[in-house]
Order: sequence, then structure tokens, then C-alpha cells
Amino acid sequence: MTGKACAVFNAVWIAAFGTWMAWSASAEQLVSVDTPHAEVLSIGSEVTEIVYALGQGHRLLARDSTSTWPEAARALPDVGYMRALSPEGVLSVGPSLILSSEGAGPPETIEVLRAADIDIVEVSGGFDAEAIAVKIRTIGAALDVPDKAEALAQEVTPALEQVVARAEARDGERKRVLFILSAAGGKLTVGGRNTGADAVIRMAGGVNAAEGFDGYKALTDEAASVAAPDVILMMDRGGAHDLSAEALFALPALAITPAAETRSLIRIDGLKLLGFGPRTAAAVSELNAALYGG
Amino acid sequence: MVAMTDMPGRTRPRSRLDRARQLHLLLAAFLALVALASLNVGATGFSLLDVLAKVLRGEALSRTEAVVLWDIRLPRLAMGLVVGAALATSGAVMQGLFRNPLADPGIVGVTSGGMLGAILAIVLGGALPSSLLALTGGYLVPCAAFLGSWATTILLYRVSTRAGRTSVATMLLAGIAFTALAGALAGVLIYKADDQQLRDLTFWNMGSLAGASWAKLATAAPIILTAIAGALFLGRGLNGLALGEATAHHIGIPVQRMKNGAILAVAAASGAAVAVSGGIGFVGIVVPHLLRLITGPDHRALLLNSALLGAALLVAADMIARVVIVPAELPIGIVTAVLGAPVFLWILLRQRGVVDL
Amino acid sequence: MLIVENLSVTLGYKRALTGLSLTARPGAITCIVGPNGSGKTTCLRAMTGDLAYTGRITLGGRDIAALKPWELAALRGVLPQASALAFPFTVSEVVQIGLHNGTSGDHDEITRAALARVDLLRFADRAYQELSGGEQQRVQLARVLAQVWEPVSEGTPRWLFLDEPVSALDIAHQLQVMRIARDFAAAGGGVLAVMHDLNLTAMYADKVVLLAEGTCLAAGTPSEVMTSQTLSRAYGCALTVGRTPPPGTPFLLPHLAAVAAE
Repeated sequence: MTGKACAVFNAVWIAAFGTWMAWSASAEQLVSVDTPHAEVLSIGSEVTEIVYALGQGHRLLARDSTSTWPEAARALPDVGYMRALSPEGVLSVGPSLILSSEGAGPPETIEVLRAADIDIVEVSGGFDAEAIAVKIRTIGAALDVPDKAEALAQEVTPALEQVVARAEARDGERKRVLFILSAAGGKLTVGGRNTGADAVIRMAGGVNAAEGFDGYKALTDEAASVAAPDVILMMDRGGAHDLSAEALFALPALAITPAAETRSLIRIDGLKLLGFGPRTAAAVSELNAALYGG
Repeated sequence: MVAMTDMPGRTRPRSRLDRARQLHLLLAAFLALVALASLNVGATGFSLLDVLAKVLRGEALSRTEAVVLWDIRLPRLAMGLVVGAALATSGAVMQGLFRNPLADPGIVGVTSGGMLGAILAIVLGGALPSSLLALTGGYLVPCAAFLGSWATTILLYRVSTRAGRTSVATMLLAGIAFTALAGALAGVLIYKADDQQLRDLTFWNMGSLAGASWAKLATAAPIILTAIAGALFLGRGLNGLALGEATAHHIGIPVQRMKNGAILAVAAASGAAVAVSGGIGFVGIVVPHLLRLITGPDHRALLLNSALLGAALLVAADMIARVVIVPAELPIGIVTAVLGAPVFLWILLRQRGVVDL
Repeated sequence: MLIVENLSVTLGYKRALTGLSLTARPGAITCIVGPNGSGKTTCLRAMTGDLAYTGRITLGGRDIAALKPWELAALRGVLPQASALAFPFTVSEVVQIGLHNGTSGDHDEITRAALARVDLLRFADRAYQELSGGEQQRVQLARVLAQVWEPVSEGTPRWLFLDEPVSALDIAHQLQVMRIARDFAAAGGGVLAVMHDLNLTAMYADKVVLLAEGTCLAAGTPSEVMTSQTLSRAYGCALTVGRTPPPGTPFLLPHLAAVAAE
């Protein structure tokens, strides 16, 4: 490539980028949700789900990058990754209340938002029925619909407890389940103890095959075969990008596991599975059915 | 080149140095313009003129307007100016010291040390006693990054200095070795990290001015500005160094003292810059290069011009980062890479054969 | 006056110089000659402060070990054997690098005058790296001249230390450079040059110091030092001084060149 061609390429490239920037800057006034009382920014997929479950979806101005369910949420402006918020970006959306799951950041941004007189309500996490009820009640209180929140909690909690009890009561061998977060490049990232995946597996009456460590970690190939899972559980991202079962079981790490012999792969929608919100009962029930049938 | 006698009224013809010095004023004006534009542009759409009009009419600013102006845009502008100047000047000094146009502050270990410090803080920070955490608060990562840069620079300096003489060649090689070691240590820590920490680390690596606050500025700015001011005195010395260390010594430059000063200035300026804004790349290499192409490599003017242009370009990049995917924000390291890499390639292609590496 | 007493230098495991003593006086050209590895350049590098040494070197009555770099730079200029340039400076910028802080007006005049002395004024704004090896060496000489522009400053003679100043030059420019050295000495400055070329040394040196294996073999005027016997001993091969070669073999004597007057 000659110097001249390069210079032309650069000029075009920078001009295009600059034009895009200028266009974006001029399109600052976003898709504003023109409904009365819309003043809430929700951060966290389960927080958004609960807001819609409480029938308050019309009050949302924007959401974060993980909040992609229900479909209506996708239409809202996206403020980006929750731990890397842009202070002016959030302000430009114009919320008076921010509902956020744990860990929104960076801390300086949160400080600035508080200084701008925005209420920030943090919704604590947790992997059991009680935690979900707390989330629902917290959000209900913040949105000033405590009755609806109570009703939803009364619906969700027993539903989940029932499913868990049924799974518990079942006789017979517990299946060993390995939750794989990602198999990119042949490297397996799996869910160990103290993760949402672990909690869901246990609630559905399974045994977490990934023993001996906490959090989502990379597993060596040999450790994966030692774990000897009967079933592989993965998130369903709903796209063509999902690894096919053949490709998955062809990986050396998994090829000699019991799961490979029976070709047992379960995919459940990621937000439903790990969100720990209103759909958790359904997710656990689905997993239980997939594991043991019926 | 016109002879002196051909130009009545002009005492002497304009040298590249004179043109470079005139560029100071031009760049300062450009910087002021970019700074004003930066205050004017943002996701919320408030313009500086509206704010000024309100103030002149005696009206109070709304809460949001005040926060946007004083707590968001102004600290970011100041941070961008200071970090941009630090990175560009450090780059110019490093290139002069190592006599290599591809050198950047990372060579003395600032970036890898800073990253290692940041990883340590991000991954292991939770294990510290809560009293210590309460003391440092949100500044744990920047402090750790700064300490990391300093520790690395001191280590590299000690390794490459014997009998009072620092060998820049040894420093370069030791820097490469250390970066590999830091990468390995980082790998171990990354393994221990959970998903959230990994994301934090990735964002830190990409660099951002989003965490700009007056408190951070109060700590970082004095260090950076002092270091840059000191670095400006290295101009003549770095010119002499271009002829080789022996010749630099022959023309009266105290070479070892100059090296000490240069390394100190770069460690302080880019260490502080990396600590508060993460890994922002390309500014240290592209800015001095561009300036050399325009007004020549004379360091007496190059260092100040680098500071001015670096500050202006980083503020401009931050403007792009803030509005291009509103209401979210692009990490500024991505903007500098996307714009900087093609420009850098173009410079290299243009210069084939002129600079012998 | 340059006085070297008992100079010894060890490079790695080798003793490069052993107990060398020599003197050079201002107003004269002193040439150091000798075979490869005799320690000529090592001697010069010790004198310019580039190497650690034992012994004593005084320049103008002052011990150079006690002088700061800028004090030394005010007393002497050093022309290296080879020079690399890391950045694309122009020729005039290179010449100006050695100049101390002063008004830019002076800088410009001295720069142009120095370039004119080495016959390179027309290249003043060219990039240094575009020049040929010989031209680059002459630019370096201009730089050194600019550094010690006045051969005698405030009563103190200043010095030129030249390391093989004519090695890359064609014969016309070789003579030009030696004449510059001669003019500098004539004006009261001191010149110390490490030379390979024995004929030029014979033509221009006032004093010759012959080194062999790290010590001084002979020192004195060219006719005293450059005898067949002494040179043969130093260089380890039979050399004949002063007679014409066998008939039919062409030879070239710089002495007989007619160079246009400056």
C-alpha cells in the first residue's frame, strides 16, 4: 500500500468516524418514552423483569445492557455496562429514580448521580426464594406499589418453594450437572460453588459436578472428565452462535464424560436461568423436567 | 534556501526551531478551542452558551445543569488535558532517551507495573482489612496502580544502572522481561478473578476518563504538571543525545543526570496518568511523531508542543467517546486506538527509509 | 598544555594502555599514530573522559577528572570516528547541537561560518541522513568547530581532539580538513589527532607520538619519529621511508597535489 493510498484511506476513515460522531451528537435527544410518570432507569436484568412484572414497565426511561427481557425492554435506550456507566449519559436520559442490582459503578459516577438529586435504590442479590421476595418488595416500595409487590411475592415465592420441594422429594440417584458458562476456544468456564448456576442446579434436584472451587472458573480438560457430569447445562443465547451439541461433545474435555455418551445437553434461556427474579420458578421446573422427565 | 543578503528587513531566515516555537501559540489556541468545545458537548445537550446566558441574566442553574458542568464536564476536561499532556510528553522524552521513535512510556515499565498494581487491587482488594478499605475508598485501584508503576520503574532502573551509568539498552531488555513476568503474575490473578472483576480489569485496560473527579485531580495534577515542567528542561540534552551518549557527553551534557531526570519525570507523569485513567494507548507515540514530521525533531520545542497537542487530542477523543454511543460511553482507549493506529501506520509508511531503526 | 602522566587503561581483561605519558602543546598539531590495537583510540577516549583510567591527565593545568562535563566542553571539542543520528535533523541543526546557550543570532552566524569552512554551506537545510559518509563526517567537524569557535578564548587555548578525521574523505577534502586543523593551531589552539595516514601526518604534524602495544614507542617531530627502523618495529613489517618505489609502479604523494586556494 503506497503512502498516498494510506493517506486517502485515513482521511476517509477519520471523516466517516467524525461524521458518525457528529450525527450521534446531534441525535442526543433519545427515543424518549412519551408516557406520563416515566422517570425510572433500571439496571440489572432481574430488576427490569420485576418492574415489568409489577406492571410498571411504562415508567421506565432506559435500561442497562443486560436487560433484554421482556421484548419491550429492548426498545428502551441502553446506558451500557452497569459497572461502567457514563454520568452524563445517565443524566441525559433524565431519570429521577435509579433501580439497580448490586455493583453498579464506577463509584465516582454513582456519587455524581446522587449529587444531581437522583434517588438510587440498590436491590440486593441472593440465590434463594427469600432473596427474590426481598427484591420484589424493595422494588415495589421504591416504585410506590407495595400492594402489587406483595401480591407478586406471594405468587412467586410459594411457586418456587413448591418446585424445589417436589425436586427434593424425588427418589433416586441425583444427576451430576455441569454448568458451562462458555466453551470459547475449547476452554471451559464452569460454575462452581456460590454461583447462581450452583443454586439453580441444587434447587432442581441435581448435584453440581464442579466441586472444590467457588465462582465461575476455567476448568482443565482432565478436571472436567474427573467431574464426570451426567448432563451439561448451558445458557441458550438464542442465536446461531450457540455451540452445537456435536461440537461441544467433540471437545477433548467432554468427550469421555457420561454426558457425552448420552449426549445430554440442556439449554435454558440465560436470563431466565440465572436472573433470580419472577421466572426462576419456571426455570427450575424446566430444568427438573429436563433432568428427570415428567 | 535564501541567503541572508537577499532579504532586506529580515535579520535572518526562519529556522525549523522558530517555526516550532510559533507552533506553541497555534497549539495553545487550538487547545483552548477544543477545551471550550468539550465543555459545550455532552449527552445531556446542555450548551455552554446557554449556561453563560443564564448566568448573565442572573438566573440560577438547575441542579442537573450545575452537576453536569461542575461535576462532570469540567473535571473531565481538566483530567483529559493533564493526562493527554502527560502521555504525549512522556512519549517524546522516552523516544529521545532511547533514541528510537517507537519508544513509549511503557518501556520503563510504567504501563505493565501500573496494570499489575491495578489487577492486584481489583482482584485481591476485597481481602484487605475493612479499615484499610475505608481509608482508601474508591482510590484503592489508582493508588495501587501508581505504586505498581513506581516499583517497576525503580526495579528496572536498578537493574540497568551500574557504577553510576544507566544502560538504556539494558533497560529496554529488562523492560521486556519484566512485562512478560508481569503478564504471568497477572494471569495467575486473572484466574482467581470472578466474572465481575474480569470485566473491571478489561475496562481498566481500555482506559477511561469517566472516573474523573476533583479529588483525583487534586492528587494527580500537581504530580503530572511538575513532572512535565521539569521535562521541558531536557530539550537541549535530548538533542545532544541524538548524536550518541559519548558525543552528548563531549558537548557538555551531564548524561547520567539527564537520564535520571528523564526517567523520574516519565515515571511520575505517566505513572499518575495511567493510575487515574487506565491504559490509554497511542497518544505517547503518535503525537511526538506527528510533530516531528511538521516541525522537525528539535526537542527544545518538541516537548512543549507534544504536551499541548497531546492534551488537545485526548480531550477531542474524549468528546467522541462521550457522544458516539449515547447514553452509554466508549472507553477512551478504544477511540485513541481506532484513530491512532491508522495514522501511525501512515506515518511509518511515509517515513520508510528516512529513519533507520 | 595537555599533559598525560602514566596513563593505564584496562578494557575487559586486556591491558589496552600501560603507563603512557605524553604532552601536547597549544599552537601545534600533535598526531598519535600506530598500528591497529596499539591503543590510539583508547588513549583519546581516556582523554575525553569516556573511559575509566588510572594516571593523571591535565588540560590547561586542570585535572580533567575534576572538571564537570560542561566545563570540559568549553575547553575542547571532540570529533568522533563515526556518528549515528537517531532523528531526522537538518545539517544546520546538527551543527547547532553543540552550541551553548546564547543569542540565536550568534548561533546562526557561527553555524553558517562553520559550514562554510567545511565547504557544506549549500547543504545547510538538507537532512543530515541524506548525505554521504564523507559529507556527514565534515558536518560533524563543522559541529566541533562551532563548539570551540574561538581557538583562544580569554587567554585560554582551546583544543580539538580528532579521532581519524580524514578516514572517510576524498583526497581534496582530506587536505581541506588538515588545513583547518593547521589554521586552528596557527591561531593558538591545540590539536590532537589520532591518525592512520602516515603521509598526512608527516605533512601536517608538529609532533608525532608513535604507540605500539599500549605504550609509547617514540615521540618527537615527524622526521625524528618516522624513520624506517622505528616504523618497521612499530608496524611489524618492513617499511621504507623516503625513497621512491621500483620503476613502473605508480605511487601517489599528497605532497605533490595542487589544491585550489580557499
